[in-house]
Amino acid sequence: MTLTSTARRLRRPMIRERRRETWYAIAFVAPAAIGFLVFYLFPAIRGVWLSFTNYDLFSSGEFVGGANYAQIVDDKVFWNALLVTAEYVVINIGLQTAVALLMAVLMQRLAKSLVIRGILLVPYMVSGVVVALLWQWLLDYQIGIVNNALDFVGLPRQSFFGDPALAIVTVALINVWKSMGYTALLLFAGLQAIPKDVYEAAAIDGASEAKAFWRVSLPLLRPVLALVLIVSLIGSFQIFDTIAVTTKGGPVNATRVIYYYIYDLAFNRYDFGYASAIALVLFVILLGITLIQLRITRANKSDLA
Amino acid sequence: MTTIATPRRRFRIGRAGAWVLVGVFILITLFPFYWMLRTSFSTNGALPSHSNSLLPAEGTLDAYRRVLGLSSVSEALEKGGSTASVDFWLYLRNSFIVAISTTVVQTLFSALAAYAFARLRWPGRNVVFTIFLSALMVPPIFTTLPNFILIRDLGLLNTFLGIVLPNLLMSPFAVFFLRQFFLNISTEIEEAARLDGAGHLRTFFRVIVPMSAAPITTLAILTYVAAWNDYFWPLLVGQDENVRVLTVALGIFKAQTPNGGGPDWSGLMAATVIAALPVVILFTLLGRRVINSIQFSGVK
Amino acid sequence: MKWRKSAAVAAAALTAAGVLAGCGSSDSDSGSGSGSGGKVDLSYWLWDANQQPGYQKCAEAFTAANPNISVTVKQYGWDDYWSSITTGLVSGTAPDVFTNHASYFPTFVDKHQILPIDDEKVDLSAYQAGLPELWVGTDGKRYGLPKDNGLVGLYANDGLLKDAGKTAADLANLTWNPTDGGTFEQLIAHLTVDKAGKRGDQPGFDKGKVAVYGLGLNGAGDGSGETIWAQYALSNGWQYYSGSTSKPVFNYNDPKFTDTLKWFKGLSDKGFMPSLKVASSGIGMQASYGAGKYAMTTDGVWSAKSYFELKDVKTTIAPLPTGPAGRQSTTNALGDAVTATTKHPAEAKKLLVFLGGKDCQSIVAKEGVVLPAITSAIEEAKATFKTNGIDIQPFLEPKTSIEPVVPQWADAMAIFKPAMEAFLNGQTQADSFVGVNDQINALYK
Repeated sequence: MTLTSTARRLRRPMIRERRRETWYAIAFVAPAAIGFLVFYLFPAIRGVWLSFTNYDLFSSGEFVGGANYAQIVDDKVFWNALLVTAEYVVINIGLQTAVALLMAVLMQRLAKSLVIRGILLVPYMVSGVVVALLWQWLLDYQIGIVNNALDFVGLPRQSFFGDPALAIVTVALINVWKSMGYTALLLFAGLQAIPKDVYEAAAIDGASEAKAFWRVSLPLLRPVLALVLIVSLIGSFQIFDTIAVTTKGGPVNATRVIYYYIYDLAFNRYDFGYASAIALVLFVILLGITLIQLRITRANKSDLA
Repeated sequence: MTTIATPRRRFRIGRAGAWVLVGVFILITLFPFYWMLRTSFSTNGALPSHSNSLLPAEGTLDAYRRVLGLSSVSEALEKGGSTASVDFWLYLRNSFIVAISTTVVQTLFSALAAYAFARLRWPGRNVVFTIFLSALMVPPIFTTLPNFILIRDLGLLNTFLGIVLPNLLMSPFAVFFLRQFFLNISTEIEEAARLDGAGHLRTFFRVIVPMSAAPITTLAILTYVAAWNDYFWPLLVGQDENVRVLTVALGIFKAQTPNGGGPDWSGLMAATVIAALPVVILFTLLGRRVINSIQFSGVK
Repeated sequence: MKWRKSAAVAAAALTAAGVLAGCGSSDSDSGSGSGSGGKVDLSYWLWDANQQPGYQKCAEAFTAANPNISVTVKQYGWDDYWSSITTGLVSGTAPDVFTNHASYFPTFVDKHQILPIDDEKVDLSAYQAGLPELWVGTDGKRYGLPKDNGLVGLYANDGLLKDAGKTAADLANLTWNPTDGGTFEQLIAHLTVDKAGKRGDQPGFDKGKVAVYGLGLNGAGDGSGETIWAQYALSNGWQYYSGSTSKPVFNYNDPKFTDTLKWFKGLSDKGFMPSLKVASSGIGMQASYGAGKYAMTTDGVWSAKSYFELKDVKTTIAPLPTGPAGRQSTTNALGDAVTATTKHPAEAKKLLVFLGGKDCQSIVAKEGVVLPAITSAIEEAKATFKTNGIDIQPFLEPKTSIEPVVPQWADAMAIFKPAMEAFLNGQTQADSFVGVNDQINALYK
């Protein structure tokens, strides 16, 4: 009896407290929620609706059922775009992560200088359009300094943007250049968070630098790595400005990534309904990838503890 | 002796190799910027024929004069430039207004929401968060057109509010990023503050924010850079002289015609240098703080 | 600053002239449009920065003649231009009048985004033959007036010609055919030099190590092939399409077209012209030409000014070669359009007619950037080009064919462009255009 009454006595302010907390939560979330509803959810729902119409920007469009989705199934350009995007993401993320890891380790073990870290961050500060234009100029077949340098040391000139086998790699490399320093800095920060004594212990055990990296740094870095990966992966799938500036999807369809294809359909060919359907497919793909990644992150939590 | 010397020498070679690697990374990072500077001090007519020279082709400040609107239109056209005379200080002011207001307001509201998602207990919290998170995956192309029409219907075209509004209240990335940090702040400190009678708002500002100064600064910098470099949206919404931001004004230096007639390269590079300068200066002034702020001590 | 002052003086002079001469006409103005007598401000957009000063002066002249209408001229780069026009049309914030392009025109007519100007009185015989038809929509209504004449010519690097022992006179009467390329190909071969200094027509020429290509290449181009392959196909007796503009039947499967393309690609295979891979990898043909990597290029008259601005390269302009069906060039004209979203249709149409008319085109001609479409201004343009050291007579020599202006061009090009790139890259054969042609023609059934 007495036990339950104390419990009840305790519970009442707790319920009141809970309710108070809920109100606070609503107040805290409200501004962001308004932004979310008005500028993300509403247009997204509208996009879903448009994907079932033949909307062409200028007239309101008629309901066409699943016609757009049926069209996707047979659209070779779409499937190719998906493939090209995957290719880009793998090269971009793979290389960027590897290079950034190397840079981060170098910064941590060798060059802790703030100036060096500052320098490596600079490309990230420049807009994507400018980066693309700059590299288009640097990599020009005839007068680009990179090809002139290749020529100078006796190597053949490369058509970085014109060769179907090279174009998507080039675009991926440009974006690796843009964000490798930034990613490295994030990973460096992650490395810094690893307690020193873990390394000392490894050193006492006689582990080499390489061994310390594989056995200590990498496993302990995994949650940070996962966080960085989620964000850069979503960004990577939405690669657009580099391609819009340099190759415009060519040669043939070698760099026609999904996002550029959507843009082209919507704003050049005014096929907004179909573009919306493809955008929705892209959304579902990204959602799937993120959910898988989040699961992996969660699984990693135990690793760290 | 020899048994000790061998690993040490190997160690030294390894160290030297590592330093070389650092040097290569720095070179790869900086060389394109040198090329940008070099091009900006060149004349358009001479650029193709001087492609092997590491120095500016016919070194000149013309491109900068053109960008800053110091040379006449016909003079600029003769140099292969465009007619764009840029009211630099006005556009700089506009860019600052847009970037700073976006950064401050978005970071604040995103942090509040992230706090609610991370530390407050309320029904439906995880569901709402997942929905928020999904916004991260909505392709921006989806939202651009409806948002544009909305801004027009609100009568906000060619206003600062119209330019910043879609990004003002939240960014899914910011909420996601900050929640990750808030989750890991020790509950004890927070509870101690609560026992002292601090409300949620007070706890947030007095405990959570100071403890997360590093990630919040990191996020603010990222938001600032993104807002500063944003191009397509302000191009659509802010064409009016009084609200035009630097990137939009400098977009004029991009390709002029569909076939042939590439951009005004030296003008474009000069414009880029000028547009990047405020960010670089800010970065140099705050350098230590910015770089050190990027930390992950909390993530688990 | 200097320009602004002189423009202000000019504007003041024009205003004075307008006041003196236009008292009567301003009365009729108020009758035609803004009866309220209130001031109207029109906006006008264009993408070509080189033409902006000319049209700025035109706008001022227009206001001088119509004091109650002011005009704001704005310029955007090509890509931004079209996204701004599109969103502007969708949201009602588009300019009143804008420079239109043939590839967008039929779509805007289809979607009722621009207004016909049939109710305006215009003397179409004032324009060079064929050009006014460009701006008639598939519905038979007129939507704009031609402003320039986009003819194509041969640009050659003087220094490289001299090195090869050739003069401008050797370029004047070139012949071409799809079998062996005629004297045109002989010249291209002779102007091509490999790294060892061997010319393309000499034994031992190494096509894998070319230092200077005889002819430049400006990408694969779209279905009009403007400046790239169209002049050869047309001079081989080929035509873009038969039938009407609303239901065109394209001829990309015609042997006259595929033979031309086989020859064209052959130039790359022989090392006389860069491969598409090389040509499309960088910042453009003009830059490579300016660096002395291309001895000749085929390019439009609108580019003449920038060729002559190149340092260290002197340029000679020659007419295109004569093919089995004569000397042929594509032509294309820009024209203005009045948006359906304008609040002042009467004033906007008036501006459009003024911008395409004699007075404005004479101002534009004096800027020496483009060749005007209106016959009366040609001599003025020639004279201006001449003072800049440019002889544009060679552009006027070929017979002309108008590039296709048909609906769904963007959809057709989504099929055509990758196919052309694949062909020039050697991934497909010329007969692949039979299937491509069927796909494109299916769009119009």
